[in-house]
Amino acid sequence: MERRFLQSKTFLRIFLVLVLSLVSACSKPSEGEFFQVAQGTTGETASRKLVFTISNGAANAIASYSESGKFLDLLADTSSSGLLMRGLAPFDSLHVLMANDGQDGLNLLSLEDGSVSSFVASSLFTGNIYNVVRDEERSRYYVIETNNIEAFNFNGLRLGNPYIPTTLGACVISGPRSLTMTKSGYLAVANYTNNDITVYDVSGASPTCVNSYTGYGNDRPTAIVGHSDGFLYIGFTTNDRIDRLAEDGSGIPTTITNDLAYVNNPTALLEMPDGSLLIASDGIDGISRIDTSGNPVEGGIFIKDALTGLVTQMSFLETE
Amino acid sequence: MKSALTALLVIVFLPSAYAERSDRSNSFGFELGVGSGAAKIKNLSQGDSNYEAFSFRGRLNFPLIVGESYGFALLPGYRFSSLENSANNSQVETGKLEGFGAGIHLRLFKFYFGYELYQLSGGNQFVGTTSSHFEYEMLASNLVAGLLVPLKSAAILIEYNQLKGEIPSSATGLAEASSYSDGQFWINLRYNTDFEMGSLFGFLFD
Repeated sequence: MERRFLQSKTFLRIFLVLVLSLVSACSKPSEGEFFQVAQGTTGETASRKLVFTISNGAANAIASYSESGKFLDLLADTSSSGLLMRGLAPFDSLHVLMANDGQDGLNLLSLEDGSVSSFVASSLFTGNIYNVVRDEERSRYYVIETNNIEAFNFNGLRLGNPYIPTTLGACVISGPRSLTMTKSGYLAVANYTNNDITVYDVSGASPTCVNSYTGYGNDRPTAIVGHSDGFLYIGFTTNDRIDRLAEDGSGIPTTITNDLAYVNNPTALLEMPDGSLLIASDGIDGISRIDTSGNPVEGGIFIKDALTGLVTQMSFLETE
Repeated sequence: MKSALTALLVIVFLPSAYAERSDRSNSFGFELGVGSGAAKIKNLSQGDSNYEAFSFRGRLNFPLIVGESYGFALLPGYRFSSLENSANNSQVETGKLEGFGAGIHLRLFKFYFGYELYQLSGGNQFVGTTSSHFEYEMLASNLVAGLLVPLKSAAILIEYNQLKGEIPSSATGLAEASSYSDGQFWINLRYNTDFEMGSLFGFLFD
């Protein structure tokens, strides 16, 4: 009797071990992907926030991060409302200005409750909207519309008709994607279609063409930023690289990096407070960080998460 | 490794099940268990993030109604799960999920079925090209089904669970919550004490 009991006990042990080993082996998951979240999510707050627009067809949103690249908040998700997020600029401590294609217009996004209100109505736009930039010195916003540059004062009043036409002196706008203010107060435009960098003097009663750099062949300048060092930094989506050019568009540009690990279909550029450059690249679905000599800063990849797939414009916001 | 740990638990605890021969199936009990299986989080892109899951838990068993071929019990407990993303990449993603909960189990002969609710705290860590982490809280529902092997003063429970919850968007920064689920096989050892509770609600069936 005792022997039978011991035999049954041993059998049960072996049986259970075999069952569990088999079950454990069979329950391994199939290979999938990594979970994509907005990077950080620490609940961190900051008085200066990095914000950027995302527009990749299905998803249109504005996200905010700390200066160190930690996710703070998803400020707006307009994927279902037909607002294609093409650009943004600081407005005041409670709002950010959004340039929207689809339902063309400039809208204000409340940083308090996420509500969206119209700043410049769509009736003043008929074409393709891209980046917008704030001219602090002259209290204006410049926004790309097809092959023109429109301007509006801080009350939303339109200046010019348009402010900068397709052709102005030697400057020809063709397929512009981004624009920036330079250290000396010029307005510089990266033209994707004719590959020109056109620079305008916007200090007078009406704008004038300062220079047009036309030596880029077919390299597709897509992103541009005016740096505090007095140069323009330009990102190209063909022959992917970052070039440096004098802010008035004169002289010969130099390439500071063409490392595809950090520059791969660059769509937006921004100067960090320390002078380094943020590069949003569609090809790496992330934002990298380099110094003005082209060297990666702190590993090179600054943010790479679910929201950095196709960044259309980056800016800093000063909030209360 | 995980299979070995599971086997070790069985081998170590089984003798205690035979140590005493009195019938305590109606009494208050406590149990320890280990589980192994797969977990899944749905991405915003609708793709799946798959994880190997290895878990352990402790549960208390309060038999509320006990009959010869049926039983009804309340089981508060704690569970901990370790997750490791199975994606083949230089990036590494690991996670943990732990928390307390309670459930009710219905036993019919040697089989039982249960529904449990757990308040879980979780966190995932990413290491590789970029390193980051996020943490979250979620309320998860858990369906269980198992086989109970009584061993007088103890019992072996072989169980399968399906747990489901939603990782809130406030934790991930995404536009919508991300669904989490796991399915694991468990081996539990329950030790029944002398404290009988089975007759507390037995009058309902008299």
